[in-house]
Amino acid sequence: MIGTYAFCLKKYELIFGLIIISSISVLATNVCNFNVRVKQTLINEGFHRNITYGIVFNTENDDERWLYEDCIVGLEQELPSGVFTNPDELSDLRRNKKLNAFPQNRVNVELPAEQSSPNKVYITGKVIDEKVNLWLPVHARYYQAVSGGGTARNEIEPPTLFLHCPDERLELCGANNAQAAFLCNGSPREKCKWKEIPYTMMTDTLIWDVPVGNTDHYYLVAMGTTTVIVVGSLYLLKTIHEYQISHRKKKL
Amino acid sequence: MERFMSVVNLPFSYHLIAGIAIRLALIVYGDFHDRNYDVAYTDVDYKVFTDAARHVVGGGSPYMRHTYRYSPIIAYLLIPNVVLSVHYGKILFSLFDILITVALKTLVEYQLKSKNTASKVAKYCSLFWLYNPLSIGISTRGNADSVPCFFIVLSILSLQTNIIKGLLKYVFSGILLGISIHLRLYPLVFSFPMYLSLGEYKISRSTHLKTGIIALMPNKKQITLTLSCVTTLFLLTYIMYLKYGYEFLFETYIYHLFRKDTRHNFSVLFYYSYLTMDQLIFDVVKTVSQIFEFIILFVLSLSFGCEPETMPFALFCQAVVLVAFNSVMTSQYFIWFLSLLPLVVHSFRIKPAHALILTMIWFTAQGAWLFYAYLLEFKCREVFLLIWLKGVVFFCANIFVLGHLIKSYTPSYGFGQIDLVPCRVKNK
Repeated sequence: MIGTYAFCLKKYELIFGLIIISSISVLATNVCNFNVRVKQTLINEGFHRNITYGIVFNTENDDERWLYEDCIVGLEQELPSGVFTNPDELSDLRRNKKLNAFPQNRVNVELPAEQSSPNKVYITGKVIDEKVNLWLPVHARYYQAVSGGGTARNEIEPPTLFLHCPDERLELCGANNAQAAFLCNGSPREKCKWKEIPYTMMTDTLIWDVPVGNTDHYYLVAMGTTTVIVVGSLYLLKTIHEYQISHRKKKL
Repeated sequence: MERFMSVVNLPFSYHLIAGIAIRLALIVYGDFHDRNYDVAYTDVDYKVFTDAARHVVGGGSPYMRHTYRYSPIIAYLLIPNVVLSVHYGKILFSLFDILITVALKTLVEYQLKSKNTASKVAKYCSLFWLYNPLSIGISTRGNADSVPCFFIVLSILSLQTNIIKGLLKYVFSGILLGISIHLRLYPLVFSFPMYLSLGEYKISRSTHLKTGIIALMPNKKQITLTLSCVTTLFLLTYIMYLKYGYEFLFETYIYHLFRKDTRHNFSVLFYYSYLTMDQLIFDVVKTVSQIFEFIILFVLSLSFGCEPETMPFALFCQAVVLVAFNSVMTSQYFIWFLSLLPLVVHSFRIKPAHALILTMIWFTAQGAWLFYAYLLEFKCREVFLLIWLKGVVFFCANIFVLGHLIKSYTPSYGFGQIDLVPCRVKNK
């Protein structure tokens, strides 16, 4: 008797559970409709610049705030081979609590663009008042000189956006968690759940042109440099020789 | 001018206190600056040293820190940066600065010992280092380049004075020179004139060949200097090699010898290096440059290195040539010759106006280069050819100024025995 009762109870629980899950799924399709806008800009000039990210969450409907309030945005930015972030600079910024950003792979800050490969950088920041403003200091690499010189173009693509919340609320959205173990920073996998979120890009792909040497200058520069070095050296040798002669004369 | 001279004529200890105060103030300011501004006051290398020291404290190798390209000794010296205070290294480098000042003053006093104004001249000379904005900047920003300078100046001090007596002074001089070469390769060049200065060469056209060869044979002092220098250098390098292996040899020495940094710098060879990206099998231009550099260094050694009195000038000229011909040149390299300038600055028979013009030529050429480098680096303007031209101008300025200094070089001139001092000050 008791066994039959227990079975019936389990059956009811199962039905009840199924009802809840299906209702959450229905709910999720409605509430997980993220409306995020991102502005990506490149500020300053020259070889050392900053990428800034203005991330704004939808504010039209107050009921949807619960989805992202107190959550952390994780941003994955792929940098082309001609652009790099300095890991030491980033670790200083982390230490001084100015910016939480880190590159995926080891960065050699000295190599030219041709000998480097694209690298990914991750930046995180908390959603405050439906907004997150992130930035990243970036540096341009030298390109190998080409005939005619001019500039080489670096194109910085839009980032991928992830969201991580302190509770399980994003589980309701149904979709699988993104493979974003890099953002976990050593925390256990079950506590580190990031969900990739769609967004509307408000700006174009970033373009960063850097000057490139002109190989047509090669003969001029090679001849000029050699001439200057030879003439300068002969001048010095002549000066030393004259000094020695006058010095000897004085001694006599 | 009168007020300026009255300040200059303050007791040496006052100047040392002022030198320390300036450096400490800048260390404090540097900390404030780094906290509040995006462009840091502290040198990038200082962080590298500190990180390397952190690896050492953790039982690792300093070379675990990417771009650490110095002897592990620097990382050892800066261990208190990690365990005590991050400012320790800057204070240590500043202390080296002050000790260099004292050593320079003592050395010049010895150079001019026969003159009754020696102490005054020596003080003036040492102030060229103590108040040199570059030396102040380098130490307080945490650059270690004043450390090898310290050992070089001490080595000359030991060699040329009687602070240490007998053969022991050559042993000490050799040890100090060995340490400086271990820290930075360039003082290796100085070893030749230092060695030559200990010989007695009475060779003329009438000297018999056999007598001439005997005169060139190394004497006891030279053998002592060479042995102690080579032994120190070998031991230090070997111990470090045993501890850190090939990585130490590569990062500390081989990297600097074959440095392929093609980004813009003061060197006359910069644009050429960039255009070729150092990918030539046989580089004619660099070979020509190195041959001439070698010849000049050799001629300078023979011309000024053979007499103890002129040996510091040989070292100074060699340092200028090493910097001017280097394929990579940044402003921290200027410290190589600026640390030796006080030893010779009193020997230039030169009018103040002439000296001012030479100084202006050197700074203007540098300023012109910096302007175009700024346009490239911070405005992305395509000005490579102009930067190269300014590099050429700066190379010419270096050579021109050095040429004029050689022409005006008069050993023991002693600033014309303080003619600089205005009469009123003298009368006081």
